[in-house]
Amino acid sequence: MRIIAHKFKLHKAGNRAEEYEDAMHGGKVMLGGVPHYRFAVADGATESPFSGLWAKILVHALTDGVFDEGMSESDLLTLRRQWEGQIPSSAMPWYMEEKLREGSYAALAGLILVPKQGHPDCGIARLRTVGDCCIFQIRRKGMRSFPLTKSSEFNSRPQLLGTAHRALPPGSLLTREWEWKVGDTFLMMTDALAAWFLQKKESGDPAPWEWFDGAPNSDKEMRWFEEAVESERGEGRLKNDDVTLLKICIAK
Amino acid sequence: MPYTAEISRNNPSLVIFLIDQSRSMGERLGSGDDRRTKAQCVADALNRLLQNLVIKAAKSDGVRDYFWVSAIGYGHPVGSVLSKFPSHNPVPISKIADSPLRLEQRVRSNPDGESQQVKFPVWIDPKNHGWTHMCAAFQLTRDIVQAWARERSRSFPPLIFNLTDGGATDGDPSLPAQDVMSAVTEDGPPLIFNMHISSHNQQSIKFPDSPSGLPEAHAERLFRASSTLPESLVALLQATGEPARSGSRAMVYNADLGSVISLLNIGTSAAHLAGAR
Repeated sequence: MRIIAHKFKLHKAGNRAEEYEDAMHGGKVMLGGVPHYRFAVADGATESPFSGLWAKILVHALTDGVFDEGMSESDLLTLRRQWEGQIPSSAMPWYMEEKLREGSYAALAGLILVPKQGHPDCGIARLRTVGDCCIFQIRRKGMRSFPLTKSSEFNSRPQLLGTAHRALPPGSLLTREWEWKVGDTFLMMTDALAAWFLQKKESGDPAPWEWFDGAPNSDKEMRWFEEAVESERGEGRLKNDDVTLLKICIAK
Repeated sequence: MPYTAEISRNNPSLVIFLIDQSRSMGERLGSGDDRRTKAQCVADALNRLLQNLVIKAAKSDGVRDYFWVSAIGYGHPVGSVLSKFPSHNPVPISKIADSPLRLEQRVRSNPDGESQQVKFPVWIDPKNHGWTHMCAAFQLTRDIVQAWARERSRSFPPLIFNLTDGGATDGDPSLPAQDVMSAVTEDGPPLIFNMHISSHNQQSIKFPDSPSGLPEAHAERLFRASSTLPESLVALLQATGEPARSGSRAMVYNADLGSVISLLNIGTSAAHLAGAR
């Protein structure tokens, strides 16, 4: 079994590239001699300070296995302190002091692929989400999504993971287990692209995932993605926000 | 659909505050141990709102100019109440952020019940002198929004908040207010919120949809000077338990300070930042 991961991203129109506040990461880890794969995407909240930094800390935590068994308060506290430690410590204007007091926020989605013992071509997919980043599984001509299943479910007030030292409300972390097998594709997206994707399906497109296969070749796929997203934004079909896509193909 | 334009640095939103600074604003508004005058309460509420707008626009690399602000007092004289910006023309929020008159130390309780010392920026000091030149303030506003709509035709419509404790003494304010409302952008006409505060224990009227039943002539004039609430704001107000309905005007009369603050917050939240959560 081979994992082929494609990463796509584009910052919000009107912002500079360095103002992109999503994050994604993925990789293989050997556990007991067996390869496991962990992938994560996160979406830093627009109004939060240093939210891109918080999103990066969260995706690395997930791919390091911190959330394999759940999301404990002590794990979150460690990550919060990590964020605080990376904030510039020089004297800040009054509004940054207040902003930092409010803290930073992000949505997170994680995917952990665990092969079945003795069967490397199939296994269990463990999904972990807080907020409205979404994971889609594509198999032949079918698709399922988690945690949101309709474009109407997206709103401006999802549950988010914050750096302020408060307990995560019960029910914030959503988990699911699916089965995977060779030939499956997983798509992980932050909210703007996920909502657009679901809307495309709802509008009658039987295979919206084929849209992501439109790149002329692998060398040009990022440029193709950027132009395609800009076109969708221009037509008003895709909300102007940072866009992130992690496409995971499971091959033999 | 109107009132849906996204707000960004390239497409900022204009917020204008009109503040009654006439002599009667020196009367006490607070009750019990709160001995603040109407002018002090209004100045406090607006300083807090400006603070919130700055914080909303602040990012790691500084304050982004999502908002431009004008604050006009009307008593004597009529003009900018932002001492560091003597012209009534709009000022970008980043310049407001860097220019409070002073930072006061105040104690605030956080959601966990703990108290902490925080810095409270002050841009507007209370003042009460002269008559209620509300028409002159709306005329200045008309000039500002007409220029804004010409230069930024795709922007979210300007938001105008008028805080007063009485009737205009220089004419019928609904006439220049109608001129303000005619300065439309592609996203709709400006929204005028009229907030009348009272230190007398009179029944408050919130979001009327008809002038009938209003207690006095200047209340009717304020009604005509108030915008019809867009449906999105009606929904927001209803969600907070306010008696707004389709066709309601953006107006509260004989209101207490809490209602005024609530409407200021909800009114400014009408303008959503692009992609903001």
